[in-house]
Amino acid sequence: MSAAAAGIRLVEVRFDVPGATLLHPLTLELDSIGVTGIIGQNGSGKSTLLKILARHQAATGGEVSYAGRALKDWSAREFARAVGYLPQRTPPAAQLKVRELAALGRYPWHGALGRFRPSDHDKVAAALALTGTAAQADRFVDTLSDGERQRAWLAMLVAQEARLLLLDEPIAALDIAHQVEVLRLLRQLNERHGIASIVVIHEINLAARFCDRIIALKEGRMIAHAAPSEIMAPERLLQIYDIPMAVVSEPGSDGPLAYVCNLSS
Amino acid sequence: MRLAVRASFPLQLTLGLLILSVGAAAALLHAPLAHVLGHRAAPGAYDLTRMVLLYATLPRLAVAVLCGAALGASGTILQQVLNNPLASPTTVGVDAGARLALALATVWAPDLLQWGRDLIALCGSAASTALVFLLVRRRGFAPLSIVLAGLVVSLFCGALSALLALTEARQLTSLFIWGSGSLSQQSWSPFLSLAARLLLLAVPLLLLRRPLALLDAGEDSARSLGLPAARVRLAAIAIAVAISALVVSTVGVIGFLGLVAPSLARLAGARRFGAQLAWSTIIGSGVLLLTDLAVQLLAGASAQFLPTGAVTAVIGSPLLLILLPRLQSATRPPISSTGATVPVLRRGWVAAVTAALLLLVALSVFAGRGAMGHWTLLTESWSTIVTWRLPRVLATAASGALLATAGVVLQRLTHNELASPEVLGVSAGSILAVALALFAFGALGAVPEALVATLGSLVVLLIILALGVRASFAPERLLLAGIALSALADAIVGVVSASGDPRAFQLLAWMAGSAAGATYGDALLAAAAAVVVLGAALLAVRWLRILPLGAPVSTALGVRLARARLALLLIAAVGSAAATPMLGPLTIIGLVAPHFVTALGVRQPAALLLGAAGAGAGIMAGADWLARTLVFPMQLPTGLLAAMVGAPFLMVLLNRRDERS
Amino acid sequence: MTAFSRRSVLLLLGSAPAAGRCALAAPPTRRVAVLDWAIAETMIALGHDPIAVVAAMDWSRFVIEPALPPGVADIGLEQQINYELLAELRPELILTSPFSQELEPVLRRIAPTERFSVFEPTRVPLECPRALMRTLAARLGCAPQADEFLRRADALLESYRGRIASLRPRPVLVISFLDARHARVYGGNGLFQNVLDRIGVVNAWTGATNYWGFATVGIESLATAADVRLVVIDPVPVDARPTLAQSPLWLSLPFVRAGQVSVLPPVLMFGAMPAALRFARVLLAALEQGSA
Repeated sequence: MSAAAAGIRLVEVRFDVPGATLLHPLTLELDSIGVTGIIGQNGSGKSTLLKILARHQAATGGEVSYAGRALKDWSAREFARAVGYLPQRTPPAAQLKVRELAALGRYPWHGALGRFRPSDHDKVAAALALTGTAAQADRFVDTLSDGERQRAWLAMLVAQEARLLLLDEPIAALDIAHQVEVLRLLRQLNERHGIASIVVIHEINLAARFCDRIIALKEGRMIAHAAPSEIMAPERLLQIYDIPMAVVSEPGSDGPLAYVCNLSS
Repeated sequence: MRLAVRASFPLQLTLGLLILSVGAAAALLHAPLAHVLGHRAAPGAYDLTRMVLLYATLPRLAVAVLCGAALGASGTILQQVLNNPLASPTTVGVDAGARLALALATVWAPDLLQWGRDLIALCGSAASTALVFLLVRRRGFAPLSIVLAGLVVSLFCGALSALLALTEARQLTSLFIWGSGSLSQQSWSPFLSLAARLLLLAVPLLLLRRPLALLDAGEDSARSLGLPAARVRLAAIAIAVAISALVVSTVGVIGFLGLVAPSLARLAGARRFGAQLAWSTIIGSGVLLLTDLAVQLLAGASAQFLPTGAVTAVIGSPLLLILLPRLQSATRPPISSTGATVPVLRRGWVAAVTAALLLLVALSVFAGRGAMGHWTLLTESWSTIVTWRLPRVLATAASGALLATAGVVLQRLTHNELASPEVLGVSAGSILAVALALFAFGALGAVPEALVATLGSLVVLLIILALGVRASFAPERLLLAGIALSALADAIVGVVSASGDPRAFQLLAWMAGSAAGATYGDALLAAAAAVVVLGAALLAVRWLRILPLGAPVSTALGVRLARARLALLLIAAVGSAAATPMLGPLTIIGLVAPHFVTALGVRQPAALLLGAAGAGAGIMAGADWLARTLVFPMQLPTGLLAAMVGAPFLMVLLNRRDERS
Repeated sequence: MTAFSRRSVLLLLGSAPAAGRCALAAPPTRRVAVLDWAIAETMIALGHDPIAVVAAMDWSRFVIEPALPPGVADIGLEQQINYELLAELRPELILTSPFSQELEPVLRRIAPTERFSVFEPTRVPLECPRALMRTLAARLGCAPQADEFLRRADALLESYRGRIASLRPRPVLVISFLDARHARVYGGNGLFQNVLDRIGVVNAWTGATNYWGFATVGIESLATAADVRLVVIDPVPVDARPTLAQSPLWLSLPFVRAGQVSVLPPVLMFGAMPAALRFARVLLAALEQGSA
């Protein structure tokens, strides 16, 4: 299967609620997704776009297709085998241990009645190892720190064997070390296992560092779709965030850094 | 935007109520008024029309206005404080406690009645609400906890009063009349004393008006604005409870007014707390006055005794069910669920409890009481055991397992740890159906009765399903829809019971639930249903694990939500309906058994299902044994006894959960 | 098998019209359990004591006479029968009324079960309790006793009627207090109305009543015509008197002002012939005392 076949295609996709348009008609083709970041101000339509991609909300107009098939043509299980989704706020999972949460990722494969085979066990073990959660496998999800919990949920998505992960602000509640850890994990998943991800993210510098491409939304419209190096320009950032920002390139660092300037004025 | 359009709507609503009331009052009063104004009777001469007008009709109308206003105010305060659009005096246990106190006094200490029924009712309300608050004290009186504690306390008080009503059916008609809220008056003194007491309460209420309005912004913001939120909340609840308890003690239970009036005010466009309080007070008095005028006009035309309170509830609760989806958009975000706890499996306890439950089942088969009332253990004739006890124990145990399974399924399905067939109104549906059938067609016989009950519970489940799809199964909404349905069932049962119609006792007996006289056919049917329902639930165990994580995650994992939910609802419906013929609709075993097992640290859905079914079976067998032997030769209804054993357990649990989180 | 065929024969006989043929019945059925007080008191009046009756412990509070003979077993509440105990008592026959008919399938597992109508609204005074006594007696093989009882009852009621006529009592309102604000007022086609009609007392209640011949009303509804005697049937709730004593409406009611209020000892409203006789007797006593 070529990379193009696993791409996403949006044609005139829009989302309206009574009295407002949350997403204006959007046409977009993502052939190689890699790690794609979606950035933008609050209320710019980031989560809406992600939910449409995850089939969690149906677009009110336009066509969305993944891997060459319109989203509505996928059966629930087929889609879950291909695409994983993590909501912005992960729900409480008081009754579940990390291993059990990861095992839920096998549902699209065995279904409601199928047997949980040894191969399923292996996939879960592999997912735990890959996400570095094997050590916490027997702890309850809700007793974990925020970073550990986020990785436990990622373990579920990995066990799901989805080829595309849709993550809504997965690092918003984490400290900087854990933010890097999660994003590094996404890169690793992409480079070593070919798992693509689309990530809603606020941290512009981290997005620039870890994403292959960045989509910027503003007031429900896409205003940029480019490589991070192109986004990391003062005029672009001003347009996206409505606040003057400067960009510096430290020699020896991994890339440019953006910061808000003239704060004191 | 919508609010702007409706800004003047409370006024219109009030005017409408006023015009209707004036019309009805004119119809009711014009003859006696004309008589009194026309005849200047000599002082001392007996003028019947005049006396009735002055000391019955007018005080009654005054009481209606006063009680309506008081309940409207009380409901608004409670809804504001509990941040819960469907909270009401009934929800926090005011009525249930008063009813139980009156029942106890009537049966065991009738001499106490001469101190006044109002005093006894007041003590009962105080005790039950105090218990509710005691149970949630460690939670800073969190809204959802209060509603839940109120529910459990009401269930317990309700079961006990129902038991008393059944054993003392000949004496307790008065209790049904009181429970249905008759406004009938013979002097001005109840009005005057109620007015005086309410005026006293109005002073602190006015002082609390501002602080309460701050709660509009949410509790955290209110606290950061310098408001001692917990203390304000407690004080406001105390006032609201006192107001409604005074009303309840004076005239009896006026079911849903405390819920309907604030909702009407809010829907009519009263947004801020001050406006809601004012309009709800006015609307409350208007609604009760109008209802009572209608009741009085109707009473002249029929021999059926119509208590105003129950009529209000019969009108009010369907209205609320209709309004429920609309309330959603008009209210603040739902309150969060109870805190997460981490269970630890206690193997020793599991073994001990299993052994105890098995012993209980054995005991219920082999221990009993003989003709002289003496205790027997293994000395019963085999024919007694084989003919009567064995099928009975089997049937009750299987029914207990059915309800427990339904409880687990519903709790997981609605991700609400206090869901159960009883709480969601499924049982209320069967009560309503049987009540209607009983009064439309007369005695039914066991099989049609079971069919009608099943039909009723299925209809309710479909309503829940429809409602749930729209509200994405928000736990609070389902819970409160259930409360509304149960209140409707209560009101209708109240109306028929207050009338003194002998058929009411058949209904009460059916509701109480008795497995006495179960045959092997019944037992096998129940057992087969238990096997099928439990088996189906075990097949759906993966859904039970995934669905509590919420719709987004479940969908993302490829679960077809509509299909999964429908299947699980069907399992729960069949489970609770199949158990109803044996146990009646009032047992709370579907709530108790799953928690019993959870408290032992069991958490895997499959183990939970099996454990809860076992616990349900064992507890029911034990309750049935008590029902058979406790006050021999009298036989108590199994279902009610199970509720009485189960509710205290839930109270302990509520209390303990609080400690842990 | 034999029990079954015997039952069908008995059923046939039971449905045959009136006495006459009851002599042909099998030897009298001695061990009878009863699920209805009206049937039980009729049996006791016929001299055929039941072996078991529902809610026997409440009998002395609500029925009073005829007294329950010693040794009659209590088999629990009407709707919660103690089947184990009932089976152990080995009744030969179980009698039910329409109020307990849904229990019949279970009762039949213990003994043949037959249903008797205990209440039907009729225009002819006391027709229903009479019919109950006759059919019951026919079924139990004691028809002569029934004829004798009814003959004496008629004579008694006739003498009461005469005494009433000489008293020329004012119309009565017959009520029971439910609480301090509500009462049940009797009329329509109920047992009490039947008795009033039979002994020639006028009922002052002209309002509607339900199927069973009573209406639940607020006390204010008792304010009817001026010249009326109030007849209250015990028990009166303890709070009724003090509360009513403070009600201007109650105090102004003509029967209260004139002291025309009598309190009768408890009488079973859903009773049969014995209850009717008891009501007639205690009412007459009260009226005679009132006019004295």
